Amino acid sequence: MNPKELESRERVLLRFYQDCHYGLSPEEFRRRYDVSYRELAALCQISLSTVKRLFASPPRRPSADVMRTLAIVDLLLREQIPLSLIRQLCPPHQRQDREKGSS
Amino acid sequence: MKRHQIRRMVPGTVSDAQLRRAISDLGLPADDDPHYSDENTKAILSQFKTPPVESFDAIGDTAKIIEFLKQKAQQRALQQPSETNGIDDDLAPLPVPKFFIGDRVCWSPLPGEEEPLEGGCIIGMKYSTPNYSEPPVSLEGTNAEWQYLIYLNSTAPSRAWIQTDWAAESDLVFQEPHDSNSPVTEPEGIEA
Repeated sequence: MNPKELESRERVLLRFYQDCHYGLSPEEFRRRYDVSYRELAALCQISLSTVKRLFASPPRRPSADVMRTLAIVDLLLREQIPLSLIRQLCPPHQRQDREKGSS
Repeated sequence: MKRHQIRRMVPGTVSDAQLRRAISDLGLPADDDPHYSDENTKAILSQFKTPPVESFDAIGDTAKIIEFLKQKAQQRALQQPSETNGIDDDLAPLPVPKFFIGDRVCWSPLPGEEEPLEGGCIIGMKYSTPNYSEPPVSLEGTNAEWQYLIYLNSTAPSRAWIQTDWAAESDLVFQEPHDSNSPVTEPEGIEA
């Protein structure tokens, strides 16, 4: 299958995404939701030690990946997002998919 | 043998400044281009000697590879003039890293922290701002420092969801090797 040729509107969207700094701080996330450090660490795929430092004094700054993950999860929790879109955003583990595909 | 002749015998990545430094480290004249005896030449070349590939025939011998990387890192630390460590024009000489690949470290305890400290084995390193990459900024004048990729000990709580994590140099301490009461266990072999 040939890659799709992008239209001008889609090029604009690409540029928009390129400059996108969508993010939510761990501090703000915990203000909104009652989650433990452990849950936060597992959610962002970082260690418990790193999470503790995000809330230490002085705090470490979170990575862009962490900020974006928290913002997306916040969006999923707040908005009535269709299940089909959530499945696209959060597919099951890739390895499990491959195993299923090969069996 | 003259320096320019020795120059042709060392790896191409070695700059002339590094060669001169290696020569002067041996207490030999390096400012002009004197004639070096065979013995001196051998000593100079040995500073840039890379173990033959055959010595890594057992590719699974992680300890040997780690030792080799450590030696190379230490050599680089000794040859630390700005012209060798400045990667680009706008990057000042990098500080010498406190830790190296293969070192066993743990996160330093935070005030009031009582849980066992997580730790592991360093398997990668980069020079960057701690845990932050956006928006992209020059490293100059920032709080950039060495970051280390830690392969977590099997007993680290975070191993329930990840195998590795990055940590800033100022957040790490050496793992105490002989303290049997240490909460940090010896790391096991690095799995795929």
